[in-house]
Amino acid sequence: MTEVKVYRDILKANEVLARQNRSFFDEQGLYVLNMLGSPGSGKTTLLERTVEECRSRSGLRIGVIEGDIETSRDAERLGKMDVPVIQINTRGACHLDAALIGRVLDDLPADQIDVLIIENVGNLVCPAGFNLGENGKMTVLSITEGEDKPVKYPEAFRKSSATVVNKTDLLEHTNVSLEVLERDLHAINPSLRVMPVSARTADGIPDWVNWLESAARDWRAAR
Amino acid sequence: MHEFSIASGIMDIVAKTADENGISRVAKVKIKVGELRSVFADSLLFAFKVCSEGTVADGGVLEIEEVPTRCTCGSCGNEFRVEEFQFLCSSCGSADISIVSGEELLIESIEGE
Repeated sequence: MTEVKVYRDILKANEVLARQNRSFFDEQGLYVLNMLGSPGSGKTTLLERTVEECRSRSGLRIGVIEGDIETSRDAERLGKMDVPVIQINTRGACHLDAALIGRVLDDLPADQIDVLIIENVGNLVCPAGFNLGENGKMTVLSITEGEDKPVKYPEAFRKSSATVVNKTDLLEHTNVSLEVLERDLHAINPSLRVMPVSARTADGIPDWVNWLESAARDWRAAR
Repeated sequence: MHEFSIASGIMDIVAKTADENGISRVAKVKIKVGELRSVFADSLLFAFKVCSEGTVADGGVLEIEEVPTRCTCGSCGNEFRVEEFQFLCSSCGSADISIVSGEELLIESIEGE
């Protein structure tokens, strides 16, 4: 019996592809955010409001890669708004990986986009482990999921720069305390920016878009 | 479910390493998995069993060493185990901490003949 020492990163193959994606994004001048969140947390609705707010400011031009297990419904919603959007169906896989992103890069109209948001498959666990080549991660958490979600799924929040707490218009119908939620989020990730929003009423959307603009601006300035 | 992607990553490295070292039957694969990787050991064992079927590692054992999350504090120098994802120094409460372990996801060794 022979023992061979290996010491190799199991997801190295994904990391290599993620770096290639990142080089592409850098060359094209795209600031890229990987958006995580549960199914039904309001990721696509947040994207719709984000595009509207950016357009009303004549600001950032948003492009989207939609990751879903099946269907192109989310891409159709954004396509109706004339947002450059590419749909990826993972056919059962619970997360996007760098290879899936790499395959669609040639289809991106990069000259029409300032910020690319990759809406990951609705899932708070698996997507957190796979680098896509993005500049940062953000999470969408809706208050109807309950205030215990950050402590149950800490990894997604630990790796995020920002969390949008969505559906605040429903706050009075739940037992959720925004203070408790924020305290738990900051224990997991002290530097996390937490922004309460209602994507339905657009309440709080300007704050989130301000954050997005400054994140993209800081990245551009540091290049 | 990301355990299947991880198992398939393991098998890629195992097959290549076995081939390079003239191993035709892999009896054991030792891996280290940090607590922060949210890997469920039973799911990974099952995924490994499925992914290794018909390969050089068919029937081999996957030995998973789980690595706890440890941090050091930049303010007071305390090194501590992170409990329940509270990323604050257990001694002085500072948020200026860096992770020492818990993010591992690597193959340590393979055994075979």
